[in-house]
Amino acid sequence: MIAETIHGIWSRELKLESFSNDDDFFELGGHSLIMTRIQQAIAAELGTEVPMDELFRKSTVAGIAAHIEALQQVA
Amino acid sequence: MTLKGLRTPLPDDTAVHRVVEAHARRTPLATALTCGDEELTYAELNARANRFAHHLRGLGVGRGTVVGVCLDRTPELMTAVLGILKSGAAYSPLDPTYPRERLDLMLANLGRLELTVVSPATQDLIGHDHTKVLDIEALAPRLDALPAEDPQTDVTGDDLCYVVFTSGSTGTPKAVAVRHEGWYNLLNWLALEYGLDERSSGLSVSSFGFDISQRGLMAPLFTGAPLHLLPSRSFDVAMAHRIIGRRRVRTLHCAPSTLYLLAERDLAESPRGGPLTGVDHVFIGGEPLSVPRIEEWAALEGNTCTLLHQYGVAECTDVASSYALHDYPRHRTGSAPVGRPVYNTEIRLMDETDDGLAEVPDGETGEICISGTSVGEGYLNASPEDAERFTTFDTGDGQVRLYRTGDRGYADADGNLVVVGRVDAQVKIRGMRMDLGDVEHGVRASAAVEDAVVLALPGGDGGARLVAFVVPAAAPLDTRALRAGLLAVLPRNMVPEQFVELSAFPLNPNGKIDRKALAASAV
Repeated sequence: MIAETIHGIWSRELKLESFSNDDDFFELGGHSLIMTRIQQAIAAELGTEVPMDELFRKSTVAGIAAHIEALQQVA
Repeated sequence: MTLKGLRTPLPDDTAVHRVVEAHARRTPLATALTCGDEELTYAELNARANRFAHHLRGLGVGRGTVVGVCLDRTPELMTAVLGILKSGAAYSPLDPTYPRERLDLMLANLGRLELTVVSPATQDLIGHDHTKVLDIEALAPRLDALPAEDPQTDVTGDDLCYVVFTSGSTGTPKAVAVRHEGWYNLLNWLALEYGLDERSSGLSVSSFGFDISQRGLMAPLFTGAPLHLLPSRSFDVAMAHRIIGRRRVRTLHCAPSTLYLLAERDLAESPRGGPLTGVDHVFIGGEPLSVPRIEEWAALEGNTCTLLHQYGVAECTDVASSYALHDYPRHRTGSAPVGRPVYNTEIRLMDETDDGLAEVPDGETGEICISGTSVGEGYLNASPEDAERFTTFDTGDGQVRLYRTGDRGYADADGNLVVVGRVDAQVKIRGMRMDLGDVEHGVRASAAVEDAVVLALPGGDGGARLVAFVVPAAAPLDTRALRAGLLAVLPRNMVPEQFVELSAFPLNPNGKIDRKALAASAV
C-alpha cells in the first residue's frame, strides 16, 4: 500500500513507467532536486517527513516503504 | 574596460583563524556553533580546535602541508578545519557525497598531503593508497590531555588556507589553492560591506567540497556570530527551513537552486512568507540566477531579505563581485548583473589580440580577468595549459598577476559586471562547475562505450541538464548499467541525466562532430 503510493510518486517525478521497487533511484536517472520533490510528495500524501539522508540511503521504493512502515509502527 | 574594487588596507596579520581566536578571548561564552541539539561556545570550540592542532603538530603537520578533511556537517568538522589552520597547515574539503574513486583521484593530486581526517561515518570513503587517515572521533579521549591554549605558529597571509577541487578537461580534478590573505580579504569585505557582526548567524547548507561552503562555514565565525550546521549529509530543504526559523538565521551562502527550494518552502508555509523573509542577507552564486523563480517570494510585503547576486571562481578565492538585487522586474529576462568587485580586486574585460591580451573598449564583451588580493596561489598539480590561466599583465602602472576565468562578460551602463557565458566547455549543473571533457572522459572510460559526446542542454526547471550521446561498443546500450558505473566514479551532478544512443555522430562539412545537430536531436 505504502510502496504503491511511493512507486506512483517516483513514476510521476522520474517520468518513468516501468521499474521495480528494488531499482536504485540514481540508476533510474534521479538527482537531488527530484528527490526533494519526492520528499515533499511523500510528506503530502503519506503524512510522513522522511529526511533526505534516509531517502538517499535507502534509494529504492521498497527500502523507503519499509522505513516508513517501521516509523508508523513505532508511532 | 576595468572595474575596480575599493582599495582597503588589510592588517599585518591576515591569518583567518586568529580572528576566531580573538572572538574566543573577547566573547568566550557566546555561541559559536550549533548542530542539532549540540551547542558549543567560542571558548569551547576554540579549545577543541587547539587540542586538535597540538595533536597535528605532534604528527609533523604544519606550515606548507595540506590535510584532507572528509567529514559530515558535525561539530568535529569545525574542530578539524580550525585545528588544521591553527597547526599552520591548509585543509582540503573532501565531499562525503562523492564516490570513493573520485575522492581517491583527488587525494592522488594533492601535493604535500600529510593525512586525511575522517570519522566512522566517512572512513569507508577514503582509500589508503594516497593518504594516512586519522579518525577524529576515536582520537577524542586522547585530546583531553593536550593543552587548550592557542598554538603559536608563524603562519602569515601568504600561507595556504584551503585547497578545493574543480573539474578538469582531462578527467582529473584540479586542486586550487587559496591563501589566508585572500580569504581574509573576502571575509573582511563581506563583514564591512554588508555590516555583518556577532548577530549575523549563518546556516551552512551547501556541499562541503564547494568553495562557497568554506565561506559559509567561516563567515559567521569571522564576525563572532553563531554558525549553525545542517545535520544532514545531503541538502534537506525541510530541515534547513525549520532551522532557519528556530535559530533565527540571519545569513545564508548558497547556490540559486538551493534558494529556489527554500523560497518555495517559505511560500508553501504561508502565502505571506515564512522565516526566510527574516534572513538579512542571502549570498547567491555558483550558477546563473533565474529571477522569475524567486520573484514572487522576493516581492512579498514585509520581506526584509536582501539577495546578493555574486560572481567568482575558486581560483580567485571564491567571490570576485557582488550585486544587491532590488529591481526584480527589470531582471526577469536576460542575466542579472553580478555587480562590482570585492575590495582590493580588479576585474578586466579582455580579448586576445595580435599584441597579446588587451582590454576591450567600454561596454564591449570580453573575457573576465581578475587581479588583486583575491587571486589565489594557483593549481597544485596543473597541466601547462591550466597553469597558463594564471598570467601577468602590464597595466601601465606595473605588472599584475592576472587570472583568466574563461567566462565572458561586459560592464553595463551603471558599471556593473554582467556575465554572458563561457569561452570553453565548462558548465554549471545544480551549482557545480564542471568541464564537459571531464564527464566525456568518464563516459568513454566505460567498456560499453565506443565514443561519447556530452552536452549541457536546457533542463525542464530553468537550469541545465547533461545529455550524453553515446556510440555503444555493442548495441543496444544498457543505460542502467552505464549509469551505475558512472555513479561509482563521478559526483552525482556529473552523471548525465539522459543517454542518447547513436550508431555514429553527425558530422559537419569540416568533418567535425556536429554538436548543434546533436543538441537538436535530443528532446
